[in-house]
Parts: sequence; C-alpha cells; structure tokens
Amino acid sequence: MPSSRGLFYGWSILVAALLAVAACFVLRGIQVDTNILNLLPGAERDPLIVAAIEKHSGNFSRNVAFLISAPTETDSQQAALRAGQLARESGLFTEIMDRVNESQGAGLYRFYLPYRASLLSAQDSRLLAQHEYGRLENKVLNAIAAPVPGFNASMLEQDPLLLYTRFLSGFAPQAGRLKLHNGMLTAEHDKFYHTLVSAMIEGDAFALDYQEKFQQFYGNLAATLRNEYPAATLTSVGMIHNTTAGTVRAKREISAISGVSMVGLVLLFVFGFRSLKPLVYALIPMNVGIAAAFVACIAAFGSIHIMTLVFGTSLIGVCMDYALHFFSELAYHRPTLSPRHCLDRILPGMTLGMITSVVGYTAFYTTGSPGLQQMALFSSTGLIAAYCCVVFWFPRLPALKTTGADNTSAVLSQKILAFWDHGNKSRTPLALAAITLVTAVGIGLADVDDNIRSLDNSPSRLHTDSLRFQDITGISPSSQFFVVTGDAPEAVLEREEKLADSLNTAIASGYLREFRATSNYIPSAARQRANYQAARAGIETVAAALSRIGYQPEVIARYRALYAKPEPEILDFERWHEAKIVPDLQWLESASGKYASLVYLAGVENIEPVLAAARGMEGVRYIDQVEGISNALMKYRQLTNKMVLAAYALILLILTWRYGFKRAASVLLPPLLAAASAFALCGFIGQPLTLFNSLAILLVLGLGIDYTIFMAETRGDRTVTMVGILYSTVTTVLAFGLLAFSGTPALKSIGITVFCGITMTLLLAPLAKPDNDNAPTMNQYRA
Amino acid sequence: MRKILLQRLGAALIYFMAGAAAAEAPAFDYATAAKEPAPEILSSIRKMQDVELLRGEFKQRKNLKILKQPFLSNGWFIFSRNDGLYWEITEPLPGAYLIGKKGIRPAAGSSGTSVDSPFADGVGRMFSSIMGARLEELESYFDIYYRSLGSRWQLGLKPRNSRIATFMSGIEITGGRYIDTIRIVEGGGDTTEITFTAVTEELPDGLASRYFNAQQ
Repeated sequence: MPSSRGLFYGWSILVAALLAVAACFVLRGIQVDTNILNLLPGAERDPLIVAAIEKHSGNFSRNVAFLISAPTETDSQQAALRAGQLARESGLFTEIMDRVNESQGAGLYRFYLPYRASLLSAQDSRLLAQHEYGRLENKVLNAIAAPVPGFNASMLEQDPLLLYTRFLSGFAPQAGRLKLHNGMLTAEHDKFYHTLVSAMIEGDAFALDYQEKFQQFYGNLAATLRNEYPAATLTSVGMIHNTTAGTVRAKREISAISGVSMVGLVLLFVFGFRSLKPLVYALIPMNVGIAAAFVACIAAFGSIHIMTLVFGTSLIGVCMDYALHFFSELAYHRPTLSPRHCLDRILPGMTLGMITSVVGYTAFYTTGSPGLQQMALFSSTGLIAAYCCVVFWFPRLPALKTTGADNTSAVLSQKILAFWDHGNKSRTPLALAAITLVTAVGIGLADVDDNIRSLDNSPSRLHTDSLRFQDITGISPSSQFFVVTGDAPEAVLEREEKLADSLNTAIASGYLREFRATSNYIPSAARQRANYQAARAGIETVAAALSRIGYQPEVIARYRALYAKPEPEILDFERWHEAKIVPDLQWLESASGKYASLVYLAGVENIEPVLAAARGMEGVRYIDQVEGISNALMKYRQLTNKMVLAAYALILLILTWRYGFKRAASVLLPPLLAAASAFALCGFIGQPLTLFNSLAILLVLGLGIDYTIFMAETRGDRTVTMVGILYSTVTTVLAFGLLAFSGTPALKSIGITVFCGITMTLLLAPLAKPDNDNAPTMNQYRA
Repeated sequence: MRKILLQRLGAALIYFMAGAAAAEAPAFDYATAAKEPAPEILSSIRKMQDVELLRGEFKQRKNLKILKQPFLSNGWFIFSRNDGLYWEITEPLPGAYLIGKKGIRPAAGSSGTSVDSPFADGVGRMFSSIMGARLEELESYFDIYYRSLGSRWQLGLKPRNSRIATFMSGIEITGGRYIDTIRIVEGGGDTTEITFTAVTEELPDGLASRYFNAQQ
C-alpha cells in the first residue's frame, strides 16, 4: 500500500495535468451542442436513408424567411429589397431569394429547349397517352381566347400545343397565398402587403458563433428597416431563431441555477458548520470532478451537449455529498477524531456509494445513444475524480477548525430517524403501506407524452411569429417526405415517377396539395422516351387540330419536324445535374455509389391513402420527422425505464454480496419507493411523463442509493450520518429545485422528478439502518 | 417553407416569355395627342368612374402572325366598381373568368381552364383598371396620351416600365359614354381588339352579386 503522502502528491500531479488539459480545451474553443435530438441515437440503420434524413434536417434547419409587411405594396417590396441587400452584404446566407433573377429564367428556357419534344407535364403526358387530343386542342383555344395577352407569337410559334410551356410552369408551385408581382412574392392580407425574402443560412443553426452573428445581423436588419421604412414591420421564421433563443435561455438558466445553488451552499455551510472554510474545501472535489468529466467528454466525443452540462450541474450534489459527510463527522467529533479517522468512518459508505453509482451509470452505455453515453461518462468520471480528491487529499489538508455542530440540523435529523425508530412496531409498515398506496394512485393518474413537439421550448414570441407567417403566406413547414433510393440516377427517377403518378392521383382526390420531386425537373430517360413516342404516335391528329386552330402551315411543319426522328434526344441526368438547374436540396449520392432523392409533400390533408398507394413500391420509404422522433423518444423512454430496472438489479447484486438479500432490499427500498413517488407526483400535478423523467429517475437512484448506503454503513452516531444526508439533500434540491422552474420542458421534468425523488429518499433513508442497531446515539441535541 | 426557394424557377419563366417579344409602334397617333386631357375628356372619364355596375357584350379579335386568320371570340361581361370584372366567353369555347385586383382566375364552375399565362395577374389588374377608367392606377404603369374625337375620345397608353414594354408596346382605348374598343398592341405586331356593344348600366337586381358572390 503506497503511503498516504505518496498518494496525496501522486493525485496532486495527476490533477495538475488534468487542469492543464482542461485549460487547453477551453482555449481551443468548446463546441456546445444544444440539439436535443442528438441525445438520441439514429433510429435508422440504412446509411442512405440516414443521409437523406440528415439532408432534410440540414435543409430545414438552414431555411430562414423574412416577411416584410407595409400598408403599400411599394413600401413592402422596397423594404424587402433592402432586406435582401443586407442579407447579401452580411455574407451569412446563400440562396437569397428576394427578386427573381431575369437571366436565370431565360437560361432555364434555353437549357431545356433542345429536348422539348420529350418533356411533358404529368397531366399532358397522361392526356397524350390516353389520346385525349381534343382536350389539348381546347387548352390552346382557351389560352388564345382568354382576355390576357399572355402567349405571344414567338412563344406559340415554338410551342403551338403549349406542351413545353406547361412543362416549365410545373416548376412553379403555388407558394401558398403569395403571388409574384414585380418579380417578388407578395401577399395582400388584412389591408397590408407582405413580401417574402427567403434564404438559407450559411452555417450551422446550432453553432454558437453563427447564432451570435445572426443575432447581430437580425438586430441590424430590424433597426435599418425601422429607420428607412418606418411603416414596415418585419416577421421572421426559421430554425435559427429557435436555436438562438434556446441557447440564450439555456445559458441564462444554467447561470441562474448555479448562482442560486452557490448562494444556498454558502448559507448551508455558514449555518451548518459555522465556517466557510469547509465550503472552500468541499468545492475542491466538485471542481476537480467537473474538470475531469469535462476533459473525458471532450476527449471522447469532441463536443459537449448542453444536457450533459446540466447533468454536470447535478454533479454538484453528488460530489458534495462526500465532502459533506466528511465535514459532518469532523464537526460532531472534532475533539475526539482526527481527519484521518473521520475519513475511515465514512470510507466504506463512500466507496460502496461511488461504485454503485458508477455501476448504475453503466446502464447508459448500453443504450447506444451518444447523448446518454456522454452523460454517463461525464457523471462517472466526475464521481471517481471527486472520490479520489476526498480520499487522497482530505486527511492531509491544512488544519481545519470547525467550530462546532449545528443544533437545528441535528434535531431535524433525529426527528426523521425517530419517526421510523419509534417504539410502535406497526408504524413502519403502516406508513410504507400509505406511501405505496398514494404512489400507486399517482402513477395510475400519470400520462405519458412522447411527442417531440411537447419538448419544444421556443419562446411564445417565436410561436406567434410562426403562426402569423403561416396565416399570411399559407405556407407551413413540412416534416413529411418520401426518400426514393436506387443504384443509379435513372433507377431513382423511374421509381420517383411511379410514386409521382400515385401522388398526382392523391392530389386529384384532395388528399394532398402538392409535392416536389426531382423528376419534375429531369424526367427519367424511360419517361422521356415514352413522352416522345406518345407525342409522335399522335402527330397526325395533333397536326389536324393545329390546323383547325388556324396555325400557319410552317408552324405545323416545324412541330412535325420535332418528331421526325424515330428516337428522341435525351436530356441525361449528369448533364442536368451539372447545370445546377435547382438548388441541390433534394438529391444526394452516397459514398458507396448509391443515390437517393427526397420527395417533399405539402398541404397534406390525409396521409393514409397516400401511404397506402405508395406501399410496396421498391426503393420508396416514407419519413415523418415529427412522428419518427416522437417514436424514438418513446422507444428510449421505455429503454431507459428498462435500464433503470437493470441498474437497480445490478446494485441489488452488489448489495446482496455485501449485506445479504434482506438488508440489501432494505437499502434499495427507499430510493425505489422515492423514484416511484416522483412518477406519482407527476401524475397528481398533471405533468406528463417523458424520456427525461426516466433519465431523472436514474439520477435519483445514483444519489439516493448513496444515502441509504451511508445509513447502512454507519459505524458511529447515526444522527451525524443523517445530518450528512440532510445536507446532501439540501444541496441536491438547490441544484434541482430550480430546474423544476426551467422553461425547457425536458429540464422541468428532470427537476420535478429529482426534487420529489431525493426528498422522499431523505425521509425514507432511516429504513436502511441495520436491524440489530445498537450503535450509540448522542442525546445532547434538544429541540 | 423551402418550396419557396424552388419558386424562383417558375417565377423566372415570366421573364423569358417577356423577353421573347419585340416592340413595334402602335397605330395610335401619339404625335397629335396631348399629354394633358382636354376638360371634356376628363369629364367623360370622371362620369365613367362613377359607374357602379355595367353589363355588355364583347367581340374579341386577335390578329396573330402565327395564325392564318384572325382568331375571333365573343361573349358578355359584368363590370362592378367594387368587385371587378366577370368575363364570360361563349364562343368558340365556353369559359369564364374573374378579373380584378387579385389578378385573373377562372370563375368557379366555369368550363374554362385556368389561364396559364404568367402575365395573368398583372394584366388582370390592368384590365380591371381600364374598364373602370381608373387613370391614377394606369398612370403608375403607363404614360397616358389624350385625343379628342368630337363627342368621343381616345387614350393612348405607353408602358413606362421596361418589363411591360417587352411584351406590350401600347394600348389604345376609344370611348364616349362608355368604352367602345380596346386595342392592345403586343410584341411582334400582334394585336388584340375588343369591341363592346349593348353596354348598359341597367342590370336586373341581384344579377351582379350572383356572379361575384358565387366566387367567394
């Protein structure tokens, strides 16, 4: 056994190295991840589907829209142009869309023109295939007769049946209620004109530095518009607003929680130990623990999740416990016991408590969830480091003069002990039965809620803005899409077209308003050939119709010449893709040479018939992000519940090895019953149970088992142990009682659960004391 | 929301179509026309602006170079100062449209197919302004020239903005108590002439509201 002196210095060197590494990490810049979804493992195994979902999330999180409203259209559009200009100058965005670019449209027309003989809109394709030439003829007559000089001569000259025009107009979906005017998307609503400027952020919506830049830009934009267009108002929606608000709130809450937690701790030490010195010492293991946890997390994961940091705050409670027990012993036995002896008294409880907690956290590792693994690593490392600090450093700390014990704490502790240690033999079973009954009723009342939307903690201002945006524009964000996969682009396009046919039927039945597929812009070679042959087969009938309409013979001759060759000129995918006709948002190629496309749905009225029609189609998968994530939350809530049970079982094994089954059960019962009562409280107050309640229960176990183990391991005065547990409870509640007031639903769940669970554990802790308890009790504390 | 990004592509189509035409001088004699209206023209136009409801028949003649013969169509209309224009084509193919501030769209229940023209909205608004003789609205798009023809009058409209000029070189409106003809000179020399007959302010009660309210 190395000397305590050797261990002291050895540990000191190790900690110095650790702090140096931590400092390096901090200086290099730490990435804090605030996306709650990263806590969950990818539910999907197929890497192509995973990539497609990531592409969608990327598109979704990068999109930002600015809607500029003013009493006149001119003001609204001028202000929108100014906004577009500022967005361009900022360099923070790509794909900025304020005013339609004229040359782009002409380029588009010229690009497709050589292939027009084989390009048809879905509807025309069907009409030609079904030989509905009369309807095509009527469409031309209608267009010419309409009181709008829209189709001028040169246009009809190149496209007498208007087939190419309709193919191209298929590129323009209805953008909700927004109409193009002066090249800008504008809507009139409630006597105001609203003009849209949309963009993609050039950065990560979750990255703190981008959020800062965006906030600065947005503040500047609002101020500029206020100055230059006082009548205009700005509404903006986009994930970036939510992530920025989330970061601000998380930062504020974390600093508030640590702040109040610190104030509470100071008060606890002043009243408990009549000195702040123990606090200074107690903070040492905690800070070393957090530093170690932090270093381990960054080293293993490269970044740290905001939820991990929150759990880190909870470490205050756990790491403090060791120090609190140490100083309680010291305070009440100071004249008689040396620090070394005080440590020896609490060492068995500390060691067993640390081991059981670390074992408890191992359940997290098996979930396969990166977020949970991060929390487990953070908590375990922090605990072990804090444990080492207490064991190696405390006995050799410079002389501590604790000036005595606090009477109130001791009296309160004795009262809790006395409740269970009463002469009345029937009190314990009765009390337990009553608690169990109330708990059962509460759990019976509890609801479960796995909907991801319930975890959305965006400020109501953003919610109002997004409703206003949807109200004015008629556009709502979509999380529903199909992923179509294949070994080659042609295969993907052909599969997509099959899907598109069924989606067009769904649109006709009113189940869907529209969809957006890559094959709209580049039909498969097979479809191009089929289009060409269908048009070619009907050439005589069409020519007769064109003649009836009254076209000049040379116009008809030119139309015939388009279909002279037996095979069409095919627009191939590669050429199309390189031309970057559409922003590259819906198409992806995997490293393994497979391809996928996203087919977006909008205005879904009834998804069931749409899915039924698409069922069984090869290479077609339906994804509903909201539903998918909610399912994942449910799966992981259930998994975590199982993990909690597994952890309890593991701990029961360790405890049985040490105490035998009966006492092990009495040590396990208080945290178990306390955890159940925390669920029950949620039932009574109508807070639905989520994954985060389950996570918190694991924490209650980690903390609570320490309480009962200390109680079971006490060799000396049980009151002193109870005082240590009381102080632990107070520190934990200080850390978590505030979480219950958090605006973030996930944190609120954790807060309520831990608050109730840990308080109940305190009250039930005396149940863990040995039956043949005849340890001396100090009687000098009087109420 | 992201589909707005794709919107640009379709929207851009307008411009190629607009760019495909060349301008030509209209027949209206701008040289002899005044840029300020004579008082009698102005008073005629003011009277027209006061009209609440108007019904009439129309004949449309489109002279397109790509067609061997002029394309003829006819039908009837109701104009309402508040609700815009209901325009029903009876020959050669039935179809009905609502034209007003919100552009042009097929009337509900009409057999007319939707107007695929991307100009539809802007032109619809303009058309509605012409029918109501709302000069202030027209002035934001056109320079207006005035000619007096005894008891009748003529207006010549020249596009002020280049985007309109690329597909329309001018509009000539002839009228007396009401508008008699509208002649739109498109790019490439194609013309559209609309002649109104049997125009009256006398409408059976509720007729107008039947056509406009049915669309709400």
